[in-house]
Amino acid sequence: MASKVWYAGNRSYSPATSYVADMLEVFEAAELDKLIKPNDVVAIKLHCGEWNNTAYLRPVYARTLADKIKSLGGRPFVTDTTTLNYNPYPARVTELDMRFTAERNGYTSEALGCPFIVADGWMGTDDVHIDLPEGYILKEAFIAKAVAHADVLITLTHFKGHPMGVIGGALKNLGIGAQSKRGKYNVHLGGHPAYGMGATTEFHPERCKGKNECPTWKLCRDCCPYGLFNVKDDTIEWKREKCVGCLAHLGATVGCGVMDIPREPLEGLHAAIADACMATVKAVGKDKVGFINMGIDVSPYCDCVMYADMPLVPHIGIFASKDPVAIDMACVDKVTESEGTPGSAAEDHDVAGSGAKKFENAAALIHGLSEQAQINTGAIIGLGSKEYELIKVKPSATKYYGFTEDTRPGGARFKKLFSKEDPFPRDRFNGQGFKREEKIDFEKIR
Amino acid sequence: MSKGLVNLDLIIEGCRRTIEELKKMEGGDLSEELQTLERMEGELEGLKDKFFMKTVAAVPATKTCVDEVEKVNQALAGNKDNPAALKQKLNNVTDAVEVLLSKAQMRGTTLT
Repeated sequence: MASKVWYAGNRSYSPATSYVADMLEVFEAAELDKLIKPNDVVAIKLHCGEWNNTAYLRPVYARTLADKIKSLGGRPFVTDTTTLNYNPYPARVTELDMRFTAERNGYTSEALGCPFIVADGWMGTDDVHIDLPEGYILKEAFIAKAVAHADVLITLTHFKGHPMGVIGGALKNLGIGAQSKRGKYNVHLGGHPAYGMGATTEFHPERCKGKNECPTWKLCRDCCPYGLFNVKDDTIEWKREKCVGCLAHLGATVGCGVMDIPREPLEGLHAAIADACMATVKAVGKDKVGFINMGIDVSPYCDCVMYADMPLVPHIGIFASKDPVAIDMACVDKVTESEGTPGSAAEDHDVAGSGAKKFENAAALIHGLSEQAQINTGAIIGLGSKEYELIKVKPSATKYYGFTEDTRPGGARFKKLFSKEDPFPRDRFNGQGFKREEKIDFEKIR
Repeated sequence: MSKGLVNLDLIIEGCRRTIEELKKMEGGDLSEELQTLERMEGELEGLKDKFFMKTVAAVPATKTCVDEVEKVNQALAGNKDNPAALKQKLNNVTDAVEVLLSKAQMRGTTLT
């Protein structure tokens, strides 16, 4: 059966069509407001952005959603989780680092009007174990405790591309983003005998120039938190049997050819993401999870990289659903349907035309990865449906989307104040206020 | 074979043709460009076993190089360019190859 996905357009031309208003409109159209009962603790799960990433969602969306949830009687908090090392210079591995990065990106309790909580705690080990017999590859998952224990979960996703995942949507926001640190080891298949990085990576120590010739050898020595690399004078040693798959070493070792990543661990990851999303939904409750995909700033790479490239396509719009598979499918289809952004990676890869698959050709790390593998897995395990009915939400003609602290018109608000202190200097230049030319020649400046 | 590797073979083949033609040329003082291309040919060979060449990101970088090398070889075949114009085309090749070599190092790569 087709799932319903509500959709607000990708253009803004009035307060009622701002992306903030669109988000609230699809939130209500999808009846996500009805998930929330008075005193419910509501997690707003989002990606707070990596250090120097600039495509992540502006905090105003989470703030607005938090205000909305409060108006419904709920107790919102905004949340994200600690990460694996992922690169030699990670910025969100512990709660301490995560808070520095999140606050630098604007995710403060002051800005959000509710707490920002690192859902898996100081080290990333604060989690809830979920059995997953229905999983395609994972048979268990570790969900960040603050997410798992929430009464309601609103998944607020920045929809974009992703080098390993190919797409970064609702499935990945929960399938990676709601997993604790050990949950992320699980999803990245750390220690897996067939698909783990330790098992599958092609290792070429003979290509290492070693201490004698490589100017960056110390990075290989120091990138692994378990100290599994030993750089010698003319080669490198790796205790691969102990590799947990945190991926930190890849940023140091793939560029020089010492390591080569095959497709299998990446395709396994896609399946595991959908499984872990399923586990998150199970932890909170299927009828207690809603999804909003913000199809804006559709960058080729995820918010977890330390930069953000030009969007692959112009904004595709704002989506909401109770089905994570359907909402991601709808967004992928919208991106495929869109013309690519001139000068973007879509153009670089000759996939800028409408109908071309943008993500697997211009965002995927390596060739041959599918932009639908997460989605297909989600459909296979019963997490959701690839069939969807896209319902366009019309902008409200009556709702107020202006300043909420005082909703009276400006005249009513400031009449008394301006009578106390008039900001216009009427006492100067016979009431004209300022020294200016009486007339000017417009032709000269046209 | 990945598209990046296919393109890499085309770049190397194109550079070799360019080098041969430059060696045959008399005048024009393109010895510096010739030396640079000879050095780069070796560095390009070294890319063949790099992970970057399997990545999608390798495609535009290598495609630019293929296009620039082709422009030089067309100019050399037609013998129409003056030395300054040819020099500019050769510089475009070396610039494109430098970008490719730099990107292939994958500095700051994050894989999540």
